[in-house]
Amino acid sequence: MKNFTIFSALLLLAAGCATKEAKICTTELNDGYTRYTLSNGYIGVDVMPQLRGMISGVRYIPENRELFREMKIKVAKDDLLPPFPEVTSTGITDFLWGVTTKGDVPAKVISSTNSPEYADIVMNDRFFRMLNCEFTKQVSLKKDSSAVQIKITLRNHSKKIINAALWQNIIQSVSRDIQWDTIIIPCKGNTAKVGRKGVKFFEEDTVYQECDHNDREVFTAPARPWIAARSDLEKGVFILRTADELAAEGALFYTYKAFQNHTMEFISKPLAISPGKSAVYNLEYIFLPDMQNLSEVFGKDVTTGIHAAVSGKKMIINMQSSGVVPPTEWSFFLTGKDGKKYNFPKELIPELKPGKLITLKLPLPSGIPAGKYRFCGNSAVENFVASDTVTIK
Amino acid sequence: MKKLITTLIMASFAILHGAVNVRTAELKLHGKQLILENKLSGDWKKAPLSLSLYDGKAKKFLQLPAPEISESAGKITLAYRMPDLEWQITFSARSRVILGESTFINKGKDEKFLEQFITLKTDFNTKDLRFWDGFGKTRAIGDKLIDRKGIKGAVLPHISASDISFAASAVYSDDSALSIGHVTFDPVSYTAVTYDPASGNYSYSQRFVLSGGEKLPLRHVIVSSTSDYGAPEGVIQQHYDSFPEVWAVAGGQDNPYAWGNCAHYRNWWDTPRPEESRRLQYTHDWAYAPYRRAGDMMMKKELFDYKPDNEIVNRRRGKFGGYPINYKTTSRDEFLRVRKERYLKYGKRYGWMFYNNCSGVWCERQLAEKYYPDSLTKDPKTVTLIKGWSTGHDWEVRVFPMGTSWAAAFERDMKEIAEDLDLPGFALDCGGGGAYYRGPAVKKMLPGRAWDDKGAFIDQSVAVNHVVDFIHSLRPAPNQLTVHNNGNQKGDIVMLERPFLNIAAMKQMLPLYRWFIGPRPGNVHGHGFMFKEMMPDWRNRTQAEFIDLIGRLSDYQIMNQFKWGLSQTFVTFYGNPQQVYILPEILGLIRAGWQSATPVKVSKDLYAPYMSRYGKGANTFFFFGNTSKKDSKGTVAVDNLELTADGKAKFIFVKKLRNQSETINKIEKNFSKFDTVLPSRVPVLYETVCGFTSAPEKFTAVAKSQKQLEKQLYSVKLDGKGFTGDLSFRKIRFFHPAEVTIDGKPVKFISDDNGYTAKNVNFSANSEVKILYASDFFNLPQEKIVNFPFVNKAKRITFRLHIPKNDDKAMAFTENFNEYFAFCFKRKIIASSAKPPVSRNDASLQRNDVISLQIVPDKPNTIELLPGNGILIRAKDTKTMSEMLREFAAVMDIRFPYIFKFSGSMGIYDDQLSHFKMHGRHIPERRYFE
Repeated sequence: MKNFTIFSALLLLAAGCATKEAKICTTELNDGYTRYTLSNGYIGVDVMPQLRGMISGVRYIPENRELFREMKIKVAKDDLLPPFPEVTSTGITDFLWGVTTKGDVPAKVISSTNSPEYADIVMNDRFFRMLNCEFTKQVSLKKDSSAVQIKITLRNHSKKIINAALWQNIIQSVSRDIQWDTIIIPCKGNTAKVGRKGVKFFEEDTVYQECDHNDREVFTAPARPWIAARSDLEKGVFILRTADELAAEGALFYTYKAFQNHTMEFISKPLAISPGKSAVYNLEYIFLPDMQNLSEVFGKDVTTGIHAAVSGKKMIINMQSSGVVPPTEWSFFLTGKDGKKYNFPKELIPELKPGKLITLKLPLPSGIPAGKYRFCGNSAVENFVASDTVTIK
Repeated sequence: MKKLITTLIMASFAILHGAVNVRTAELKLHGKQLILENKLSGDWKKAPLSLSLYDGKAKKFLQLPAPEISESAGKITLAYRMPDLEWQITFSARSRVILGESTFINKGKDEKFLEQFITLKTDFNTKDLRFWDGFGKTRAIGDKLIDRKGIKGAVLPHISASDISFAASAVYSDDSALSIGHVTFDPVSYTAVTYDPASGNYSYSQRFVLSGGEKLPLRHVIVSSTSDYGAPEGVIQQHYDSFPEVWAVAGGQDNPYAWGNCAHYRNWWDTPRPEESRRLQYTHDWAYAPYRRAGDMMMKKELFDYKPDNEIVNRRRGKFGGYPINYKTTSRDEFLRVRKERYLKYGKRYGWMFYNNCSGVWCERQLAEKYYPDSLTKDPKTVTLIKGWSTGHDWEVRVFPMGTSWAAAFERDMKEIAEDLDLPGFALDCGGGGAYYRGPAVKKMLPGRAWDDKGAFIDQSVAVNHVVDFIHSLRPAPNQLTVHNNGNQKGDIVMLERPFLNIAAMKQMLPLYRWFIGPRPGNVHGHGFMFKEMMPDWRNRTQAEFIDLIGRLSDYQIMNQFKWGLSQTFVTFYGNPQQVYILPEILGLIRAGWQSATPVKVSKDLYAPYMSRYGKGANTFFFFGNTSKKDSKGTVAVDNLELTADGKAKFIFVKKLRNQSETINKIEKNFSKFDTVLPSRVPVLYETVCGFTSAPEKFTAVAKSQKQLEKQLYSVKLDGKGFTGDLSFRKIRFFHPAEVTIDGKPVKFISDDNGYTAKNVNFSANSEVKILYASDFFNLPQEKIVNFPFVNKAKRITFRLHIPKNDDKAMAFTENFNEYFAFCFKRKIIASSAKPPVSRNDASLQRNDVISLQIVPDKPNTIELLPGNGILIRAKDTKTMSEMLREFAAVMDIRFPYIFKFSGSMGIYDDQLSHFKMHGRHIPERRYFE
């Protein structure tokens, strides 16, 4: 009977992995490693508790498209050395910026949820990076969403304040190894330094499309709480979105090029954690499969990406969301450097949902003079000001 | 294309007969054809050789005229004369290889893009072939053409440029290899290698640019080798053996900086530590960023004040010999004054290699863009801008240090600063290749110009090697400046900037990087134990687990040091006496010269995953390492054919121990066989006693060694047939052969480059050979020094130093003893901080507690007992006195031993040591070489 129950459970688990409901399943890899996969028919996300709870892969299920290079693990064995995992350089790893890593250990899985509405895994590491600081990481996925939520809690067990700047080391491969990804970075203008760190200077807020082969690494100051990667060869953008306060002054974006990797990395504003206290870092990974670029990212419960570009006398607007957004009336407009607004007619945007791209081709407001403008939008529930600018000739 | 090459050249040869002979192959003119014949019994027999020349501008092979062919003793020369081009190539034997030396003359006015091919049409009788393209891995050859175009390999993030291929390639079977290449470090920016399994054609080519009126030399190397000990390894070994000058260290064995350990900033960023340097054998240090602005090492007045791209943060690198320099606030005058004062005081003593701005391949951005715009290396496949490298506050751009405006300024600065600071040498960071320069200087007749579809270019490696040659040219031999290169090109000491425990990096860089280093001294430089990676959950571990793991990590690094011939730095010495214990052996072997091929076969029952060979001929050493938990027994067979160019000598080996040893050698044909035991986790070394030529195919030789401070006796008792042949034996540093006897009768011997040889000696069936070496310095037993009354029972200094009244030069050396005992006092080895008193009164020479230091040019060097049982240390000059006192102090260490204790350093940190309560402690020591 007991054997039958286990067999049935395995069958159910396997069946669950093949359906479109939110779920979690495990895969045994070589050398004793276990991979947890959360999926919902749109997004699959792989979690490796034994590798410090890192995200080892993300895929867009309708297209069976991997957004990260495959992680391979091989444990090297030597007469004298401890078993040593050799891991492909890929995935998303959590570090603390400016804090020397003192080692790392597997995180323990302390809970997991497997329901059609919601799947999650919670991991814990008492000595995060061998610091006297407890790390709890929750990875969760809702149904009908192409966004993965991350909640990291750091609890300071030491007797000193820890200034903890969470560092998201993201080694994605949206371009599938063909070439380096272009990193889309909303950069803060008129900023040459963040703390003591020199950053790339821009006169005003802008979206920097970074793929300069002469620049091995680029630091920038965030203008918005998101950073994304795209391919020059095919559609789709992979986004890291953070809580607003994490990207406030003191935060950094960072990209680095080595071998086939061009990373997109985020270093949060340092949070001062007093002894015995905790700090929470909320993040989201989103894939918008039909977007080719981004001007802005917004949305409270559901993340929407928007890209606006001028083509002749028209403004081409693309929108896609990570979840379901009911039909909404939007007022789009352009603002010039002088603050003057040029309105487009109001538009009723139909329901947005993952995998559905909305494209608008709006005639430019009549009488708008040539110049640089910022694209903006208001609805009853949302509004945005693009960190990017458009130029009208 | 291959057909065309072969047809053209075969048809052009005249009917002549000539031969170029090496031990493994013969190149013959046979009728109209040059043919390479294998002299080894192997899987290939004959390979017709053809030559061709490709015109890169016309994009076709040149129609070569019939060559004029000439022969002279062991040489074959072919000369092709065309209206606007002359090409002459001479094949000759160079030790173990066949060298093809070409000269090209462009008699026209137009620049030519040419590619010279050598093609061997192979006749391998097996399809199980492999291909070595010059990088660190080999590939199986299938049915399709296999090739490598250009010298660039994988991008190494650490140097921000590509790896480059070794100067050779090979096609090989299980038993034999054929190789074509060029001479390592020749100025070459493009080579290609191709093997076509359908035709058996194996080609190697070099591309070059030939300006109007230019005359250009070019060299190719052809090797036939056994694959028994690794095919690339066997080929590379022949390059080492045939071109020793390529891997020669400036100043040779007497270079004072090259043969010891790197202090790893210990003596540069901190106040130099004389006794620690002596005990841990630091002979040089990496004097990092001794300037304010990258690209301006002279700190010129007009360039000193500038606005760096980043804020100047005064980091640790702003200390010169412990003297704090603030990059932001220290004035130019103060900066220059301190640098000069410190350099003149410490530079030569501690081997401060002046960091010369990354070999001249990086320069501060604004400086380069304003003054040296012709010098920028804009290779899109490499990183060309680095933020915050040497100084930390500059952005640096890649520049080309040969033939450019930057090169002129850089060379001028190096010359001036070498004189001003009386430098011991330069430290070259990023001293590799893999970045192409295509700026205006490629129009000049510079060495190493190549071409591709984008035009002419020169690889950075050509310029780096030019920089090294320039540095060596600043002072005449043997006193050239030393070059410490963190890169795999030319230099006297080569750094591999990764620790052994960075397994991934080692897999990526070895063996290729080590092949480039060759017999030169090399060291690893990095975060030693990488403890947090090796024991990631250390907070949950016990002290016993720490000691066990550090012991294993230490042994792993020791095994790798011996395997790769690379020394370590202090980051693994502290708390780890084993790493210090092996220093005489590992540094001694590195001095003999690491070799790529270890011509050894071990019996199946012998577990020896680690193995290496140093030196050659009678100066050969072997290392074997068993890393399992159990001891391993078995037999070692050394292939004597591979130890010399002619393969004629049979060598006798003895286990290398510090006191005495015995090994029974059984000679069978070309193999010397001996049984061995490899204890668990112990490096086992063997040294050569001597070699015999014309010896019988089979005999037994019992070899013994007996080593004392003042003499070393090696003996060999033969058991076989009598014969007449040459006896060769090696040079031992700071010893000389006092007497060599056969059956008690002295024999005469001569000295040569490789050691000593006694010619035409008669050996009976049971002859006994004795080689007695006497110390160059010591003429007293070790006990007389160890038991000398340096201190009393209360551990207070009781001895005195004597310096003759007129001997002021010797007076300076009293400081050696002061430093020695200051160290001992600080480490609580003795109880008194008093310096030994100095007497100028000759009457004290009668005392039993006196050490007399004397520099007397016309008397022999000696360390001997004085009449009253005091000690006389007499040297011919100050340089020799320094060496003698270093040797003397090493004997004193037996009386005053010290084990360096754990303290936080790169790779193992204070909080980790605190967790395990290991501060001020050490792991156990095993004295396995005695």
